[in-house]
Amino acid sequence: MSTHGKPTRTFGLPPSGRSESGRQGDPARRLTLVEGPSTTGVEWVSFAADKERAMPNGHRFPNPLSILPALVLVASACVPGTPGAAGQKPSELKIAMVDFMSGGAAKFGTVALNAGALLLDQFNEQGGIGGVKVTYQKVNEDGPVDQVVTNYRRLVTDEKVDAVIGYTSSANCLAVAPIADELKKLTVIHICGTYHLFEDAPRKYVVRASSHGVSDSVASALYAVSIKPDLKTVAAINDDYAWGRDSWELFSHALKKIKPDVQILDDAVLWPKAFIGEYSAELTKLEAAKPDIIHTSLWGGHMDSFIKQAQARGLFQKSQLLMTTGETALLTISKDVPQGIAMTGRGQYMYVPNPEQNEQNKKFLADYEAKYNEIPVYPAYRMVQAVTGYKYAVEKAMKAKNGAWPSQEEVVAAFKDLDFETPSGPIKITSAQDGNQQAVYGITAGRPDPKFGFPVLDKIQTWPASAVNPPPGAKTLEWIDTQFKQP
Amino acid sequence: MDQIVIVILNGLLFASYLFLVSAGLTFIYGVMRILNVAHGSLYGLGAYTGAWLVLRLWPGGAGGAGVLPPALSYLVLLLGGIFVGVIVGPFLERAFIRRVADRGEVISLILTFALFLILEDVMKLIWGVDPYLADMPYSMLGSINLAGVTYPIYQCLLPVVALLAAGWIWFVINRTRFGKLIVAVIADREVSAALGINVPRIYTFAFALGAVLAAVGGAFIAPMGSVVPGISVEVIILAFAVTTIGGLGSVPGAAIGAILVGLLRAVAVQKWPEFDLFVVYALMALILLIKPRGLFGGIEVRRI
Repeated sequence: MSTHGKPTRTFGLPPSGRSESGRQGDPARRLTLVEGPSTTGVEWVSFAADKERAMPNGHRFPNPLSILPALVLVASACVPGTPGAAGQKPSELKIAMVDFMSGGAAKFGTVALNAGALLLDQFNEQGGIGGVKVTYQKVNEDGPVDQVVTNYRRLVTDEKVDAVIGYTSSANCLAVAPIADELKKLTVIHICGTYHLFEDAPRKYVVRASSHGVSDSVASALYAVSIKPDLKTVAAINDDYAWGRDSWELFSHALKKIKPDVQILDDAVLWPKAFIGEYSAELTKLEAAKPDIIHTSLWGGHMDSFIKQAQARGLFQKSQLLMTTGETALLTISKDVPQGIAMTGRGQYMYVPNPEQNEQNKKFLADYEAKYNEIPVYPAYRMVQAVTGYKYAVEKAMKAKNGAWPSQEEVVAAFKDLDFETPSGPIKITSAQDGNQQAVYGITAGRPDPKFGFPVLDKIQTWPASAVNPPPGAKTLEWIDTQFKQP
Repeated sequence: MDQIVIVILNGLLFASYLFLVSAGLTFIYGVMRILNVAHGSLYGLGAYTGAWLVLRLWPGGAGGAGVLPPALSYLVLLLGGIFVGVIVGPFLERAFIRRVADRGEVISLILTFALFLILEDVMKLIWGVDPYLADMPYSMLGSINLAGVTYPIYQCLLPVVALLAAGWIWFVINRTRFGKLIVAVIADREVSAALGINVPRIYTFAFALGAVLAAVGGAFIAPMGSVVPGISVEVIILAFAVTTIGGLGSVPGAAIGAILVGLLRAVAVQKWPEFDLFVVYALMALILLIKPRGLFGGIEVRRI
């Protein structure tokens, strides 16, 4: 971000001083209005900067200065050698990375965008992707779905990006996917966890580079049975929208499959208003129900509020909490994360794969900490998978053409059955263009991380990708009900 | 029996939260006929300021290296909220809202919505996107056991704060000269002006009072969770539901609306958790069908 030496404008009161890790100089907490690696052309950078200012509200206020670079861009699109000319190497690759920069998921999104920028800068230092330098911009995913779609169209038709990477929200990726096919634009989804993405319709230009929510959910059932073999009763608290509903459906089906005698306490399966952050009534209910396990897919800021309020109630001493997206709390609540919560970061957790044995993870952790002075939580790893996958797919497609530049269709084809190594471990993109990776769960221990102070995860278990992901083409719920089993 | 106690307790706890976030909204509407969407932002600013001050003054929590005794954090939250309200409220009113005062409710609605969006970004510019967890005042007090359920003591104090806020509004309106002037201005703005009341100043004061309520509410609710970008949005939607049920412009209406919603939601969570969210808006729809202006709407509005 601001470390590129580009002009930046930062605003901010001195940070809280809450963290011992010296956040004073943390670029992530400042708002940077000018983005882009130093290798980019001036027009692209200034254009992106204008957009960044306008994006958080989703409105673009026409600025006379923004028109000039736009004209330059339009003019340059007519020059041979720019992206789009098949077979010929483009002069640059334009990538848009989309994630939340405002709203409750802003921290979540910023972490991912930071990781993407870090990686693309490194690619550029090593010659780019397929020998072509990359320019990238960060785009805000916040706002109503129609606005997200409009922004996507603008990126493709006006700014003529070569690929769009991103989308955290399930609602957004489901809305963007058909538009990607309509506009014939390669779109790599990095987090969006709904299994409906590839199950409800075949996609031509959409790829997902990580496991979807199914692996979190079925692995959470496996982990629940593993840490509580005599598990009898289950309660839940999930956001009352698609993500919460899907997560609970998948988890409850998986648990019923591997432990049919488990009792789901129907009147303690709670559905608070999404993102509300005030859980007094729900916590009372959970406390009174005394379940062995409480399942939750709350995430981001309201999940932190839930943890804090549940801790004050002493809930963690009474029931085992199982969080399918809990890992971000290690960054946000850090040393105050209570002991004894079971959680995952979908496929990986900072120390899994073990950085002592996995060179890629070791390097990523070191680079990310050096640049942003905090730990990378799972959105960062998801973005790395998507960006790395894109690089490998382009280069695989080039190799197949003896070094000629591939078309988008060829890149999508190269994604199919692509296996590649990332800091999160091996990723497999299936023939259905969906990502598969291992699942991991652990429990917060009383032991703090020596460097960052968050409680490290104990009792870590991992499951291979094949055990927690349905095979390509399978219907997820059917797969859980019929084939899914304890490995 | 225990069930009933639990429902009533939970209902009242949630009701006090709702009342704190909606009292200022309804008060400003009652006096100025402005549906202030930016109310949520004032709540957010109060929450951020409160959380930021607590983290700043007590960096290590209750046992940390704070210079002041941790008990003072409650006073800091209160003063922080008042400060935000007193500074930002009059500024918004003088610089923006006053200029469209005569152009009807729709224009002021759009203007305050614009301010809401701008302030969302202002908060991001000032505090970044990192969540602020300033739970020291919340955790410090510990918890008590009521009817077999553990409640954080801080949360049990929220109804007290809500009652104090309600009492304060009542006192200002009914027992002070300023309150009499407000009532006069509400009853007839032009006659009041003709009698020598400085109506614009009354508006500024009234707006500041509403802003203080929102910001103090935000500051006191902040320690209960994570202060993140976007908290203003969640609040404003619920506040609108509560004030619509109670009748826009009526502070007692907001109190009754908050208690109704709080209790109903507590019953739903205990009995039919599927309808947790549904009941709030079902109640709103039902009341609007029977009394389109809300429970205390209509002529009552003018008395606040």
